[in-house]
Amino acid sequence: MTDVERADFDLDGLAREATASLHASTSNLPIPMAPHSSRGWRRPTFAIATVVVVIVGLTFIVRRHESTPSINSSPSLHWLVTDLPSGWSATSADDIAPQPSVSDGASVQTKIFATDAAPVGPIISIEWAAAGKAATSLQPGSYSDETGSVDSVVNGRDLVTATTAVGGRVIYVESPDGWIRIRGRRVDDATLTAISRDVTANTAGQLTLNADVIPPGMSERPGWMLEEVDPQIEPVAYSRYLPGPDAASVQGPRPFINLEVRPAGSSVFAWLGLFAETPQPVAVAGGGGHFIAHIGGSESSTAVVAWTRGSTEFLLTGERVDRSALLAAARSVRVASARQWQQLVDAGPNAKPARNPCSLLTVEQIATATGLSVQPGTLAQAIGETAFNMCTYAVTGPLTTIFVYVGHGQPPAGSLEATETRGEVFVTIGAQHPNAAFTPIARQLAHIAVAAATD
Amino acid sequence: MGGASDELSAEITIPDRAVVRVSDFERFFNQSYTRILAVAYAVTGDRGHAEDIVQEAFAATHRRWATVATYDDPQAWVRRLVLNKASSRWKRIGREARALARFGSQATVALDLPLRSAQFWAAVAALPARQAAAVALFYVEDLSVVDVAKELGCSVGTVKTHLSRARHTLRAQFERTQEHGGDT
Repeated sequence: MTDVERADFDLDGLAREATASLHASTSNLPIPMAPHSSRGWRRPTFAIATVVVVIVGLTFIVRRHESTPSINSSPSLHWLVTDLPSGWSATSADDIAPQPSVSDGASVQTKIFATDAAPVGPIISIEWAAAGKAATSLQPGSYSDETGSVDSVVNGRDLVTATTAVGGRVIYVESPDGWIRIRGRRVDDATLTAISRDVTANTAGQLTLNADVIPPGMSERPGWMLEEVDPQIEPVAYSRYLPGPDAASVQGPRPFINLEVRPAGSSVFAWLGLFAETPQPVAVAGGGGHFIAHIGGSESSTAVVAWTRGSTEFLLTGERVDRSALLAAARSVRVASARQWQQLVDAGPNAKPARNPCSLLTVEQIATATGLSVQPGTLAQAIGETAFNMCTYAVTGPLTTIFVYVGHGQPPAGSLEATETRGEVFVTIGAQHPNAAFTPIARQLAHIAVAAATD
Repeated sequence: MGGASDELSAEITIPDRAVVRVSDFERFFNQSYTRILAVAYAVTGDRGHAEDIVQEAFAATHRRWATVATYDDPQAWVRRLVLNKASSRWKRIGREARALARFGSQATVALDLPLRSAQFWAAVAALPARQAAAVALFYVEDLSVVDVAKELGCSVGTVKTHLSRARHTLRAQFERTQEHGGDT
């Protein structure tokens, strides 16, 4: 038995216990009707999930090889936006330390063909499995934004054609050792089909392509690094900006601006964005290679600006921020002083909580307020956080779990949760399965908890 | 750019096999759904996302069922689709977006699990995508390290590293929780 298979007893036992519970829980769920097409299957998409998916899709930047004026090539990742909309302020910052990659290398190889106008203009990508890799992501249907899938046979090979979310086209063609995916933006089907007719890939990871079918004006861009990488292997610095308290009453997604800064060359900006949106070039800090893309085709939705400056890559995301304000913010980034950065880190979600969240409410207080049986609290981390800012209490009844979260700065909004703020400290009371009846109870508990947190 | 579009339609023939074996598919779907959903939940930590991904994966499988039905293990094919979709969905999000997902107006929807199990799967879902996938396949699907490697398209050594790092993270997290928890 290897070290890995000889698992730590306690953790392994917990994993087995959790697996048994998971199977028991999913077995009790109703099985829906079997699908007959991908359309009509999707649940109403969560707003935040939409933002997340599209941000993922848009996080692409092209490292162009022409010389780009370097305004400031400081290797520091600690940059801050200095020109914010009226009433907005920086609320928190955070550093993510790098982790060494354990990847065996990319499972997918990619050739990109584009014109000199790229990333604007026509683009073709051809993806195939690297030597010895399964490259399961190349299977038809791998991406949920593909619709109108049509199966066919061309030259005796299976071929699947589909449309991407922004109207691009994708063709999957079966090669003897796996699928090859050909995607095009602003390229017609005939061109993509002509490419698919002769393209092959072998198990050694070698692609054979008839270059004559590549349209005039388009050439291969071998210098573009297009590997997919896990963001958690790279260092990244985040800073976050929120409007004043008045914005809390606005219906819909809470406006925010988020700046992510990484070292250039980390390939964090994925090739997915090439085909997820149609970028527009903008000047951010002099020089090319910058673009902005709006999500959902509306300036009131989420927008992204990505650019490079010297040895640093920037990604600025704005929710409900208009284009001019977001561009002004992008153009205003400056290196933060150590003191400025530390102050924001201390105000962020990973700062050491001022008070243990499990000490803010007693089991009896929660039981009295809810009328439920309450188990002792357990310290926990909110998803994506490293600090133990949350205390969870198992309760009887449909709420299942009640949590107490203590934070600093601007609290996030939640319709069925309750948040009380005192100074820079806020406490959010929520539940695993909140309902409308829970909200006034949560408010009552939050009032007690925030007082305890700031006494 | 490119040739005329009628060239495309002249070459394409729609094979009849695309409509066969639907009843087989429904049987396969009913037999596999909850197990695949468990894997999806393990890597997403959210019932809604897991159901979306599983539904999309089965819809894609239905479109390719004539081919997939001939595979030795069609369930493995669906599972790979689920892991790919989960990975695509969560890749490059960063902790900021995850925190938003947690505290945004649309809260994470968890399965009805005992607290320790719920915490365990929440912690698994917060792992890097490949580590979470390795944990899901190793525990939920009870695959060997060798089979996990085949499924993820990487070496056995890489799977061991993923599992080792995942265990290290999970163990540290739960030990800290036990050390700090419950002072009410």
